[in-house]
Amino acid sequence: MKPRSTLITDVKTSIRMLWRDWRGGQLNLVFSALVVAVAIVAAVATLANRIEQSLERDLGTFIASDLLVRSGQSVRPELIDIANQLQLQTAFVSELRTIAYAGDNSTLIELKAVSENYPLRGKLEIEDLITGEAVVTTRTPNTGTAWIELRLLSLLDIDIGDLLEIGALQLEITEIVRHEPDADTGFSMFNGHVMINIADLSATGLILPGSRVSNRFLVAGETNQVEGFQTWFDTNGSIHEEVRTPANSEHRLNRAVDRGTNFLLLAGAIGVILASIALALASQQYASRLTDRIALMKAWGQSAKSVRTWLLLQISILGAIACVIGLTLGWLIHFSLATIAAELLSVYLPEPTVQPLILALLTGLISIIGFALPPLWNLPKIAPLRVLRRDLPSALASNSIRITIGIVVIGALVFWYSSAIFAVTFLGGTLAAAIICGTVSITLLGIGRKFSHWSGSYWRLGFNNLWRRKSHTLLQLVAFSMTIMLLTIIVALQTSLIQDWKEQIPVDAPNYFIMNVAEPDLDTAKDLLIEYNGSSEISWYPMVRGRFSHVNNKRLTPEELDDIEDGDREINFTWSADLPDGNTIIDGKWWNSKAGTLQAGYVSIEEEMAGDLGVGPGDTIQFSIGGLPLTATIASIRVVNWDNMTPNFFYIFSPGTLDEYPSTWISGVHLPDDRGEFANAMARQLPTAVTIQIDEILNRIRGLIERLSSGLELMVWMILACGLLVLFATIGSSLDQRKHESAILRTLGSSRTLIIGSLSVEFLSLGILSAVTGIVCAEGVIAVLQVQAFELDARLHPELWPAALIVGAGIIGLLGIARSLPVVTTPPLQSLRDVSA
Amino acid sequence: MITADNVSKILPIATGELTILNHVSLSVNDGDSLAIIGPSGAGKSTLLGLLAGLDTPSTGSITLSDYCITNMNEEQRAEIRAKFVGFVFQTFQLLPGLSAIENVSLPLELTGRKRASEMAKEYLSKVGLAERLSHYPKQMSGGEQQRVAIARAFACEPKVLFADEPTGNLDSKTGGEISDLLFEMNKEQQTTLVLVTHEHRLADRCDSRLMIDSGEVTENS
Repeated sequence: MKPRSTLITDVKTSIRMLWRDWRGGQLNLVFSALVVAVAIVAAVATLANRIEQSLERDLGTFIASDLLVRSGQSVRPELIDIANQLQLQTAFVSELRTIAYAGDNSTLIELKAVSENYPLRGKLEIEDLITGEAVVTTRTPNTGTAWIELRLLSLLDIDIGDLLEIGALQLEITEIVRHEPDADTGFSMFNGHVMINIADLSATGLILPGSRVSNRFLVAGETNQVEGFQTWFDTNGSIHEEVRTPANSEHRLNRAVDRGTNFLLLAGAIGVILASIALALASQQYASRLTDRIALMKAWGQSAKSVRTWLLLQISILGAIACVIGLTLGWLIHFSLATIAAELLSVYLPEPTVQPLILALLTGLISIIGFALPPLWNLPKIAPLRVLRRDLPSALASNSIRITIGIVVIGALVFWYSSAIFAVTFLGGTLAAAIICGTVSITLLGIGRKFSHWSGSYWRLGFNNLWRRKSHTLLQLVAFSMTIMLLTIIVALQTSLIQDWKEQIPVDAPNYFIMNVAEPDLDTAKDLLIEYNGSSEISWYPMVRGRFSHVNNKRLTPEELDDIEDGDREINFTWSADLPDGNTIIDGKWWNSKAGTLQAGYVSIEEEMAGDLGVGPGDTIQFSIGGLPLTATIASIRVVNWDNMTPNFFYIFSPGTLDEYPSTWISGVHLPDDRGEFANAMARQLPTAVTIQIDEILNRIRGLIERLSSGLELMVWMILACGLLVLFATIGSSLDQRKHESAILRTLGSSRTLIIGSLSVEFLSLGILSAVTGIVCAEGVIAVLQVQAFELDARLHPELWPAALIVGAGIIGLLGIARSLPVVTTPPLQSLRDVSA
Repeated sequence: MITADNVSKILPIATGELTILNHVSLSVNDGDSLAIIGPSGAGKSTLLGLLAGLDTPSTGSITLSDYCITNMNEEQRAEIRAKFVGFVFQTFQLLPGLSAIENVSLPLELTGRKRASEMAKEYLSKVGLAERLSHYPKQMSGGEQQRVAIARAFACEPKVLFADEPTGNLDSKTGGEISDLLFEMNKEQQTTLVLVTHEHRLADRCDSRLMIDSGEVTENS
């Protein structure tokens, strides 16, 4: 009977064998690990993709679009054509500074001419003229009308319905603008804002050759459409045009997004590592159970090639089913949680792209190749003689080869999900931690064993068993420790990230910023604040505007100024006797540190700015303030926490240095119950001051933090599930041997209590040892990650130690005992038969 | 026909070489039965493995069903085994996750036989297990498991059946029943039988006996 082998019969045979193995429960763990690996990547990547898109859209509200092209010249028709071809939504905005007249009054204004569909992202809010509340509008000014900022009413002594003269055009004031998504936070905010229809712009007669007009072409659409536009622009953009996207819009939210994305990447990487370890362990168990079958099949005359074909087909079919279920599961997990998050937070999460699903599929494939195949690869080489001589080697791939392949594959996966530096740091740290965990655990086990001689028989038997299977015990200790370490890392980082985000926007964060308060108006402003806030302990910072010109008496060239952030424009200076909150000196000394040792003429510079200028303490910088020169010596370099929602400065001068220069004052204040009354009072009493209410921005940031937090919690739960799978697989890896030994002990007359007692000692010791070493290593890795990847302060997490210890030891102990219990409930002969079969 | 001519098996060990079989010669005609007997460690199972093409001798030559398998590689020997050989083992070697009928039909399925399941059912009936088709090995006694193993071996209709201590794991009563079944089916299918055993009663039922000790033939009758 010549063996027939066609692909169809091979597939049929493989499916049949696969089904029988599945039914026998031998594939449960392999399959679950694969499903979880794919599901976790699908869920993580899809959710990350949607959150990222949503955040980018939210960030997009700060530029009122997904992408804008800014130019001093008219928008080129090619830009409009390509945007139309890509079916992008478009809008036009032109801005220029001019004078507005109302009767005998006039003031400098920022004129913003917008097209009908402005804004493409974010919301435009106007004041309900009856209730005074801010309401969202989808309208824009009609031709012949102007929408103005509240404070212009006082500044120009006008009201709704009055006429405003801008250039050659007279416009009727019809609305008061309360919030523009892309309101500039730079110098232009000092001027009153006026919004008109873009069709009226040319009629103003203000657009003349040489006019300083900023034209913006706004686009928005699906990610691939916007990317298409960006790609086109990269090769066809003009040197007069500048493109801005949420990613380069330098907003504080970028860092929150970066950290969130980093966390999701880390969570995904940890999830895949855990699932991969589970897969590798489960595949090894499966392969060792296949050994006898393959030897038998070869004795029956099956060639190594046929056996390999069947194994490959089996694993491919299993992989394909696991991928489909994993993708579905990942999709459902992400979908249900995204739906809950969207409902709770009233946010819209854009549809995910196909990329995360491809990523998940490839992860499944890579996991199969890297973790499931190596233990099976050598099986077809098994000697058929093994059917007669079981002492022959089992032909399983050696541990060192499999571990090397595993490390390389994990490295490749982490590299793929994140970056080279992240992969090397994370993997290097994890490997170092594995070595430390192994060494420390086995040493502690040795000590425990010595002490067990003075303890009862459970302890002696339990510790001796662990010590006798030292290499296996070591493998289990490392796997348990790494699992507990990775789980502790993810929980600790999640807690620390959320805490850090929440700390950035404390409950009493300033929701009002008052700027441009002239020296003579300062007392009035302070009185008003006391009236509305009830406290006189509010910090006011003097502000002087100027630019720098020389470093160490050498004039900076225009090219050098271009390379320095804000080098080509005026920036805000202040002076202060005390180091403001959120500032840390990293070089030099603050003048107050030794009172009286420093006089006027010193400056403290922010770290990155000092880096750009290439200066340090002792160097001199010459500034130009309103055309007047000022030379100051650098006293210190500071790190500034830009996220703390209080006024921050690149340059802080020593008291007395700026006394000769005209200054205005700035402050931030928290007015919890204010609904615009303070801003109205300020506009009425101090019309030249600028009062900005940032409740909406604060709420938006808080909303984002909430959204990120719930996303992170979901990730943590999924990763905990992965961890459990590893624990399950690791315990299973020694179960046959434990069953065999326990069955022999039972045959020899040992009591159930002794066996359960010794098994409890074994698993609880493994659990406690792993938990201790896992926590210690986790703290080390977390400290590095906090500082390097998340730019947070390193701190210990003692609050997690008891939980990690109890949960780690408890789960390992209980799971181990529970899975070993059949040994004492099944007759010993049956156990021996089961194991030998 | 099976022949072995001056077959030796020598294994390298740390201190030099270990001779497991030393110049063993034998022949078994088609349809005949041979019992290889001897004490533990005599080299009986090694000889069985060599005759069945599971291993290669260090010196000498072996022919199996007119094919000289000595110089064949593993793939070629596998083809010969697939064509001509069946096995029964001391430890039964049933697959624990498969039912009785699946254990018997598996080798048939692997060689692409049609009606594998019907044939398996037929052979299980022949060994008296028609009512136990869907039972798993752990639900069966040792004797029943060996019956399944015998059904599996004969279902492939091998020309030569190699049995390694087929009654070694069974009590004498069950062992007797199993050897009755083995010889009965062997006679029915005209199979050449080579068996390794400790039991003289079983060996006496064979057409010829080969006694070996320390790798050398001490008696050939």
